[in-house]
Amino acid sequence: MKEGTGGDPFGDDDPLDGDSSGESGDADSGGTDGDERPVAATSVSRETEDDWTERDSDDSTDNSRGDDGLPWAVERNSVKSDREMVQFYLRDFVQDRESEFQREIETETGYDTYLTDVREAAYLVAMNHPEEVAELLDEWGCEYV
Amino acid sequence: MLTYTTYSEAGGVGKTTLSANLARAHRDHGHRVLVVDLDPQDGCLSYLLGVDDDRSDEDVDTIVHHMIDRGDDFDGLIRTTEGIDVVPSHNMLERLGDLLEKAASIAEQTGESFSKYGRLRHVLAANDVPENYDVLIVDPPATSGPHLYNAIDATRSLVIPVEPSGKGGESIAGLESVVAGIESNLDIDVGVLATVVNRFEGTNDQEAVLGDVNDMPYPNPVTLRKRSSLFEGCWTERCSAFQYVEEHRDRERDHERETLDKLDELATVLEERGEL
Repeated sequence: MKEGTGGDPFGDDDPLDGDSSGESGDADSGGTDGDERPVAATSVSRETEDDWTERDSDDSTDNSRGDDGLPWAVERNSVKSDREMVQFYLRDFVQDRESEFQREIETETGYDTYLTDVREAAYLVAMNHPEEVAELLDEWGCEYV
Repeated sequence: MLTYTTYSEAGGVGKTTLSANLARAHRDHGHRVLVVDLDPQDGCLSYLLGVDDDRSDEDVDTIVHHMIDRGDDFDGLIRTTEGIDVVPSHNMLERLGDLLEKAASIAEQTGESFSKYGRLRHVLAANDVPENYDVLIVDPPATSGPHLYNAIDATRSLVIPVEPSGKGGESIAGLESVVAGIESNLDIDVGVLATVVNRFEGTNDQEAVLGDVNDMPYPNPVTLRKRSSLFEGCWTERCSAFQYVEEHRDRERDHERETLDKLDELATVLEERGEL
């Protein structure tokens, strides 16, 4: 213990690092046990993942494959690894649709998914369609607020 | 951002009164202040400031819910009084240790990491507290445990009220070992912003303790004299000493003004230390 200020609690180190993310408790409830992670998805997802992440930024942490050449989702320790929590505020009907959406995705993929993964993937897909996003914002009247 | 935990191993040294009044002084200096009350006992800071009326309501959202990832809207926790934002105490804080253990166990089984003593810092960071406030004060109970560890991890700096008795000096020595353990276990760096001798009456024994405290390697910017009627009045009217003098005294008394000035001075010293 020293005189003066101690370390900066909210300084350089990411306060979310090495901790659970603080997302609402049900955020990942749609997922499966770690034992059932979709290793088989490797070849299917490789091309699309690269497509989305390359557009994203030059930041190498966005790479979809780690040092071992495994897909990111296989290599990570938990669904929250490498992720920073961002709060989303969603209306009830969107949350309802989110559950339906996740089931549709699972039907499509043939394996269970984490809601956290589905959300981020969906967001990246939306980023490839800015014009449709803009259209919906228009419908909501966002230009008047 | 200025962040600190008010802490003393000894109970009854005016820690809670000091927290509430420093919060008010920072606010009067134009700073945005958040106080997190982690003390589950009656007579806690949120009782003093009159914002603890939900403490036994089992249906409300609490800081404990947030610390175990079961919280609702963080802003909904906050009660504002005298311009100070307070996250109030709640009876559920008595179970904080057990609940953190359970949450950690669940996280372990699902392969997620969970730092039991980093939860408060995490909740505050995730809810933009560093961006929205200039000052964060955490007021934990006077016992070692998850409340204190979370408070220190979230603030990294301490303000230590000291009782002017032999026990007061010993309590600092005890705190040294507690903090050293926390620094080592959590791998953090903890500093002392100030020690504050409180309830000083000027007896020879107390003068000796004051000398000992002054010899310690920590700043001791002000000594607060015993002002029983002022601080008892605060607990009766449930407000800070600043508000008590403004609203509940028919005239300003010089000795009470002196105490308010010292609280103000202490707040200024802390703000300078926190580079506000």
